[in-house]
Amino acid sequence: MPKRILFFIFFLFAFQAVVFAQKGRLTLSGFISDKHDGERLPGATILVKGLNKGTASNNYGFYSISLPPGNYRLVYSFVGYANVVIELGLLKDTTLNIELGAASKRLKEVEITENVSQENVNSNQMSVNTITAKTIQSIPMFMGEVDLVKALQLLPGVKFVAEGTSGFSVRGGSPDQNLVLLDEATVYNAGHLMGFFSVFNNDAVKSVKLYKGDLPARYGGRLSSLVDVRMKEGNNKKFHGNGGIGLVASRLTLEGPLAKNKASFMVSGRRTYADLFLRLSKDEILNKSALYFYDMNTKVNWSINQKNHLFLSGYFGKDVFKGGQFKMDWGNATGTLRWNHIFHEKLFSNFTFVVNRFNYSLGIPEGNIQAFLWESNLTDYTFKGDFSWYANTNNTVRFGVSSVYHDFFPGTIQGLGDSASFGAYSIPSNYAIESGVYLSNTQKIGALFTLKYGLRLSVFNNMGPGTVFSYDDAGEAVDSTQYAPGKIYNTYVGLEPRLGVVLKLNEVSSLKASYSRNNQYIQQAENSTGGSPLSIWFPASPNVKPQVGDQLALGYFRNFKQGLYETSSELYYKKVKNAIDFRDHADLLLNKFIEGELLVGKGWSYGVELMAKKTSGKLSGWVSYTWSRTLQQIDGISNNDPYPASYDRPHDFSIVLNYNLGEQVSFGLTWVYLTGQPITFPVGRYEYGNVVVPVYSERNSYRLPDYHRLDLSFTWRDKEKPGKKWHNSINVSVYNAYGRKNPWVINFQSDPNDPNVTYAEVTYLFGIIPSITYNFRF
Amino acid sequence: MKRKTTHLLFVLAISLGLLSACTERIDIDLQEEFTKLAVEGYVSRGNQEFAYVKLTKTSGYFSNEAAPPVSGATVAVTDGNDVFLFNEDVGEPGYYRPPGNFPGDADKTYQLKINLARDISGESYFEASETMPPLSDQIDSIRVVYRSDFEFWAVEFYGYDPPGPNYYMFHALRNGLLITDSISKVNITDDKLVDDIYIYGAYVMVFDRTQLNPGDRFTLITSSITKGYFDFITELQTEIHPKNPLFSGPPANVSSNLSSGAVGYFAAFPSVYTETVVR
Repeated sequence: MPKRILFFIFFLFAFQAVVFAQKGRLTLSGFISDKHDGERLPGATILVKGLNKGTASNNYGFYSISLPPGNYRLVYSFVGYANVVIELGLLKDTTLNIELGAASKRLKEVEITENVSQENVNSNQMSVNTITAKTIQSIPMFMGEVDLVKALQLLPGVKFVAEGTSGFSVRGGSPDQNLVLLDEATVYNAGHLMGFFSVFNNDAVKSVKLYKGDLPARYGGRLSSLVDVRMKEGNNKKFHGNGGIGLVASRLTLEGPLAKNKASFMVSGRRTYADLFLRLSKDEILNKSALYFYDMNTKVNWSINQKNHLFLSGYFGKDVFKGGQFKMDWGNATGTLRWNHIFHEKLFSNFTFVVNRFNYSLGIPEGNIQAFLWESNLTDYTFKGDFSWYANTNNTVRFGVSSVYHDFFPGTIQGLGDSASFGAYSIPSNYAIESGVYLSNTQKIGALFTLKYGLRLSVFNNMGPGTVFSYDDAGEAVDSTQYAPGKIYNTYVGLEPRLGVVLKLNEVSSLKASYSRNNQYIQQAENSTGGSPLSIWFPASPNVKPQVGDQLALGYFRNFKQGLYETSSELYYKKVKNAIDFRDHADLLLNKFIEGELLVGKGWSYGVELMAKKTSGKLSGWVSYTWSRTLQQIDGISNNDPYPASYDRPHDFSIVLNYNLGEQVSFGLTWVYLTGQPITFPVGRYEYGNVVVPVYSERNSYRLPDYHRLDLSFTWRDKEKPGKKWHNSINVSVYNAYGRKNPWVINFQSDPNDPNVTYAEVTYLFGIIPSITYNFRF
Repeated sequence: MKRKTTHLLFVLAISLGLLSACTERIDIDLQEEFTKLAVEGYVSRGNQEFAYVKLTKTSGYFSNEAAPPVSGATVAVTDGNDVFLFNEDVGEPGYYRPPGNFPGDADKTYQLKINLARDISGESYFEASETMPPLSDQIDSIRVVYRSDFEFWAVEFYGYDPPGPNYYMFHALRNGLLITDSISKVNITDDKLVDDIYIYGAYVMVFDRTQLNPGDRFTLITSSITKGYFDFITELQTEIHPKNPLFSGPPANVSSNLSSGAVGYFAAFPSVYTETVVR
């Protein structure tokens, strides 16, 4: 309780600061967008020369700044764009929309550097990385498929969980601790084709921002990270298209104005045809099989007037697999409606409605022998209202509410047809409401300090109809209680403080510190490291306490050469309470008593993340190194002793470089190095029923050999000529260029000829994989 | 079903453009940390194949020799009233057999007691107990059919599953010879999907095209096992199959119902034999 009172006093203090703000100030506000295609630019900066004050545009490109009446020289800037300098006599509240144009490529490197902002040093956020679609495109990729998640995996503190898949661990957290949002809609399974490709089509993506644990107060519900993916709005000036044909997939994106400068659309589709390769297989089951995915992103936006703006966006993706009569499909669908409304030059608001759904089904269609159907899905309905109050030059207050209604349908399986040889087995659906209210303020104190303090109050309700089992120590259900529809039968409340401070040491360097707490109320029942689509999410309940994560981080940020080089170093310590793991041999699919398979304990991780980045010029890219440890202690695993988590890979090194050799040719290079994954090996054996049975070491007490890999790419573009409409480019890439045999799994087997002889067998997934992609735009 | 599905997905994942995937044997240095007693014990009703207790020792994973037998132990099974002393087989050291046919009975609890002549890692007394579950008295018939689409033989089962959780184990004889000659070939199932219904031709076992021939006399041995033994076999079969990071959970030791750190299982089950001719 004293903690709560402390926070109350804290806020009272904060709001006094705002309320007693000086009168007689005028507001300058507006939107910042791209001159070429009209896309709003989030994170663009506005600097008031002489006053040494400034602000940055929000997620929707809106900015607002309070100034006394007078004459000002304003500099609007954004990475990769030429500065716009405005001389302004501010006599009344003023709306000023600004369009920034791309920095000319003909400028020499030194000249470009002057345009680069100092966001790395000045931003009040730490543990954040932003990547643009353009950067992602320049990274060499597996099978030539540009993939946002694979690009994230190259950042400090982010590691893939299994080679080549789109599952990732942030600062040692499990993949289900990442909140992945596509235009505010939660993406529950970010993988296609067993996770080898992510659901994000880079052609439809504008930018992606990764928050490593220090989530803004307006987000919550996950312990490790927020991946905020924003779709392109669509060019509101001219009709354009782009696309590509690769070895495994083809893409096409169209965008253009519906009403010039007022409304635009974007539609983007993808379809893979990798399964054509299966036809080449000698295996009869394989060459009759199909395995593909398709997905589609659409977005429409309408600027009704300066004060009202609507965005409607959707994603639909499906994976299909057929083998004989067996058919399986799974996918995500999301729909987001957003309404930006400016109540006042100082009060910006956004209202969001989201429906998203993840489902899978598999079976043998009716009419066949042994016909059956297995279905599972998860649907969310979300409402959010977010407000930004640009109170004065020194205070930006954000507040809002959110509420999500979760509908979990974990699964049912039933025999089909008259001759069905078995009946039905269903796991009852369950329902929950996850709500949040938050308030935060970013306060500048003098020229040196920026404070950020916020509080999120999260409330989680389990709602009937529902059945709650009680379990004994061995995890066997002993009793059950039924709850009526609409009855709230369990409630958890979480207070989640988010604090941050920036101390600007000088123009080019700063120290930052942050503390944040997150509660996680829903999690994935998954004990493999890969991205199986057959997984289910389950909520906190009377048996399952919410997981609570606390993270403390310290950082030093320094720019060189006017921000041409950005460096950052961060230290973090993270602690997780009520961490969930599963019993040995847990049965996680189609199990009514899944809560009986859970084991609870604690987890902690710590590490250092170093990164140096060159932001523009002929050569660009970054080098990063992370040293970290992630440990867990769970009652019932490894004699209740601490053990390294599967994501514990102490050394993690990445190099990502792009070299532009003139306008037509560029090269890309990526090299990664990771300590081998911790693993459990057999240390003994016995015989039972004429087979050799392994006896294992303590959990994760061995490691796979270290992982390293080099990827290369070469891109050729045809010459830019005035008036030319159609542009071609060809990308050639090589994955695992020096053919490193990285173990994917090591299995221990008995020799079929002599069961007494046992041996270890390693599986390497990828050799050298070359690919070629043709891209076009018009 | 689940395992077959995930296996097929796994094969597809591997072959999907990942045509370069390959496997090879490697040398790994593993520490041998302990020695334990390993027990494979059975008592049954209506089943001549399973009435013995086999005692061996664990060894290093790459020891590459048959498990060392444990001889000279005193092995007894009690059912609360009677004590049955199992004597070591002179021809097969480590095997202990009952004197004559073992009279197993449903719903009786059997206790296995083992006294070693020489202790293993400081332990010389081990025990386990298991209650023999009842078996449905309505197992009517089986049929062996050939599925040309998948090129395998399927054994269809016709019978009634009594209410409440039941667990089944299936062995098979071809012309009187046990073809499920290792526990990896045994099939087990729960009754999650068939509880309290008449099972009309569900597949309980499948065999490769070459394993059976038309004209063969085929015998299905259906046994009713405890949840503990069902879990034990499930876990054992999981651990001896190759794992893959996409679907497999972390490696974990197979459970045991023996005391004092011994590995293995002491099982008690009734069985029934059903015969047909392969056509």
